[in-house]
Amino acid sequence: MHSLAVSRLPISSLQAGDQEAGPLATRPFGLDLLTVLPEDSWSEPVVTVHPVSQLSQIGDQICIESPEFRSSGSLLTDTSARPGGQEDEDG
Amino acid sequence: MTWTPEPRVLVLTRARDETADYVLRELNRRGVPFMRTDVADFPLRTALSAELRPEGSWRGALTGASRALALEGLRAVWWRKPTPFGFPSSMSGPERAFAESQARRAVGGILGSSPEVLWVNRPEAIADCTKPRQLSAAAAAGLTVPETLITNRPGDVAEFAERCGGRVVTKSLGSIRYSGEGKNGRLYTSQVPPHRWNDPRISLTAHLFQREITDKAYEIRVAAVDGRLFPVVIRAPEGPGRLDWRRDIDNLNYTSTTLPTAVEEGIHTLLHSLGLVFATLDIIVDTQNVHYLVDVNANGQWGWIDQTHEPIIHALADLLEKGTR
Ligand SMILES: Nc1ncnc2c1ncn2[C@@H]1O[C@H](COP(=O)(O)OP(=O)(O)O)[C@@H](O)[C@H]1O
Ligand SMILES: [Mg+2]
Repeated sequence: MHSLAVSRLPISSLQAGDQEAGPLATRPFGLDLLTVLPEDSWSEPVVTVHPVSQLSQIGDQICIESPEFRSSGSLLTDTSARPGGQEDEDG
Repeated sequence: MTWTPEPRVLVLTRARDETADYVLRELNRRGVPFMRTDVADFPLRTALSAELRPEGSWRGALTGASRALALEGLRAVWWRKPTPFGFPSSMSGPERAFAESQARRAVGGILGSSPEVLWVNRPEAIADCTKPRQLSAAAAAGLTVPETLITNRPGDVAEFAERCGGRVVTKSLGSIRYSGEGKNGRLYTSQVPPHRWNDPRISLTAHLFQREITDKAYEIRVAAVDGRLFPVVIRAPEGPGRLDWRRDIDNLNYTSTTLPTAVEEGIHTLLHSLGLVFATLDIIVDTQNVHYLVDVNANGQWGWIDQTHEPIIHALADLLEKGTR
């Protein structure tokens, strides 16, 4: 078995870019598809991993066991809907 | 430190990952020991130490805040959604680049070198599952793929679009996430009207154009786990979700379904050629019942669809529990 192609590890950064846009003349056509998500004042909660169950928790609430963190879209679009959020849809 | 007996499964993901959590809860129920850590935990919260054995294997341990894993016991790695290595913020750019280069080679090289380990999926298989490659592999596997043009020559778009009856869409070749200018956005599939076909800004990078499936009956999202398929019909109400259902995520209707045998066989061949044991695939079905394969997500989401939620949890837990043996 071959070893992993280490330069190609798909690790996604969660940083939201705030660099200014370049001039329109050199803005790639594909970015015209952009739908800007509504600004959301809701700040990203601090999420940790529960030491025993190893599940995601916010405060002392296990995320998947608390209804307020579960919404239908949240597992697809998840926290990405919020600035500084995390989820990438797919891929 | 909570010491669990010899974890056999390593789960690499960020702290918040509800999709992974469902499967980890199932592994807990089954008493399958695993270790969860993020790539970002290395080196400050997770330590790796491994020594080369004379016969060629790496012996050592990955030690986290609450669990540790002996490399020789490792049988499965679930590569979910890890985030980048976490170095002290006082490192300079070049210092960080050096540290990152060392870490990638060590972590990737050591974990990746054991033939005893099943990867869900191998990270390079995820990275290589680009749209050009997956569409080519899909067509070669006998699946129907809409006509597709990838180009930075604006002049080629009009001719292609005319062959497609004047109806083409464009979509991102990579992630649909875009954040810049201080805003977060999404690059949804969009129609390209005739007055844009010659846009000079098409030349600024590669762009993907595809025949629009105009007589869409419904769409199917299929999760594939170790040769088992979990297809669900997705119907979007009239409106923007008709073109790209993610635009209307809160108003979709889901129903269980089965796939035509030829499509099932095509998917198995496709995933085999892409080297994936797990994927989610997007299929458009038109009013003539033609199934168009449009997308393979090597690390796709599935947790939000109630119809297949439980069976996929069990299939993934079965796979991770089994590992290589
Ligand atoms: N050729 C097409 N015609 C009509 N709708 C499409 C076409 N291709 C994609 N879509 C819609 O856009 C969605 C996203 O496209 P997809 O090919 O899955 O790319 P990605 O998910 O990588 O953005 C699909 O799920 C489907 O709803
Ligand atoms: Mg898709």
